[in-house]
Amino acid sequence: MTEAKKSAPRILVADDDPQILSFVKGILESAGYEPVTARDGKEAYKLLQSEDPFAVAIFDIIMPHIEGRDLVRYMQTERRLMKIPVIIMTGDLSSRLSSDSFSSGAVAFLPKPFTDSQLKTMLRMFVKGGTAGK
Amino acid sequence: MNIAGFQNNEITQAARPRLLLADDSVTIRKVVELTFADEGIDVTSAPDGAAAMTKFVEVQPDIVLVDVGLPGTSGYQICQMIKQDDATKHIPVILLVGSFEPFDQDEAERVRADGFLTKPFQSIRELVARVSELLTPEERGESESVIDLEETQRHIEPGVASLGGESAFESLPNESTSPAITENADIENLYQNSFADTAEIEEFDTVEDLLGDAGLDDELIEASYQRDSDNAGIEEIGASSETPPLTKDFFWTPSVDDSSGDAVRVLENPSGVESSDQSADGDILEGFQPGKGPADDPQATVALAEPTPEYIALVAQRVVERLSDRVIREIARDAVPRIAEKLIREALSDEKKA
Repeated sequence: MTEAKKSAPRILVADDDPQILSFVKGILESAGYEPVTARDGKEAYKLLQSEDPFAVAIFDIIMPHIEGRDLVRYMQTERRLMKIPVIIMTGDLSSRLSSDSFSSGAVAFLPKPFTDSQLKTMLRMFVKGGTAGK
Repeated sequence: MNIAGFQNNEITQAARPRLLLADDSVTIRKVVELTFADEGIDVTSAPDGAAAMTKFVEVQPDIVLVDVGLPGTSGYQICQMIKQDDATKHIPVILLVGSFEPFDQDEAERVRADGFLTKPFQSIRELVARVSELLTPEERGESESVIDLEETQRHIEPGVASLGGESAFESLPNESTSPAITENADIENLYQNSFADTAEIEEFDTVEDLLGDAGLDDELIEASYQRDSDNAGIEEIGASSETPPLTKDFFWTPSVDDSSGDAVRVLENPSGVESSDQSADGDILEGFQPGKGPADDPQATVALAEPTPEYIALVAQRVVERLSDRVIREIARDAVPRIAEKLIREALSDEKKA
């Protein structure tokens, strides 16, 4: 199990809603990923700066301290971080919010509520060597 | 442009280092603020050149990050201003260069930037490491060793001169504690004074020529004491009469010249030279009357230079017997020139009589 975790792609998940965080974490673990969770944008940014690059980052768009869109912008200031695909989760489906997210550097937009298969499908698109859906 | 209002503010260990970031990108400013907040560094940001200079004076940062493409005053210009001002040139400046911005390496060197980093950064840790390195005195010392050496020399040289000047004044009471370098400086000064004075004296054939019409009035004598207060008088006498230097040994064993008249005969008196008996000393000094004995001698003028050091030796001997070694030099400095000049006056009087 330990060896499997070592080789599993690491996924950063940031959301201030504990239920969402727990839900996503469960999906990721079941799909063979290694989830790393953060309760707000600042904690997520610290993890991004201090740890090895993640395979994918999943951010809620509204978070304390640093919003998801800003996190994506900040990631564009570092070459090592700008390569990380970012998926934005949101309950607000306005087109403006969506376009803002993409212009910031996000690669995908995941509307709430979503199912585990929707998340797994999206992760398969961005994670090379991932085990999601198998 | 002078960075008016900036005062050199040394970094103290207790104070948090201050970083000034000048960049028109809100994202860069936010990232740098967030990043360095965790590093214990206070960040102040400015979006353009004018604000950057205002903040620079206001904050007095310990390091500056500036975008070369800054609106208004460019990053190069800001760096140049900082490096041109003596009060601020020690502050490290890192230029930030956008990937699509033209970067002039020669210009960066000309304005003496301490480094540059391209945006986006490979990793923000790279920036943190560079800033930490430039804020660490040891690291800065290595990178700026050449400049530091030059500056150090400029500061040290006047310091030594000043130190030498002061110790020349202070070393007399207790020479044992004087630094070697200042002692050498004193000796050099003595030689310079001695040679100058000696050459002056030797230009005159007779004492009269030396003294001139004014003679040796009290003012002149007093002035000579002041002039000789730096020990030059001792060297002067030793050099002009070609006698051994007036050391402690000389005082104890004065050289004797048989052709020197009464003074020599007095010196030959064993009780005078070897005894410390005060009555004997008194006899010696009473017996020596330079104003009378050599006066009748046709060789008086020649003898003038000869008895002088011996007579000085006698006086010095008496001083040595009664006082500790520590004050020998001070007494000699004062007494020897006085006696020598008295003898010159006596000899001058004899010359005039003859």
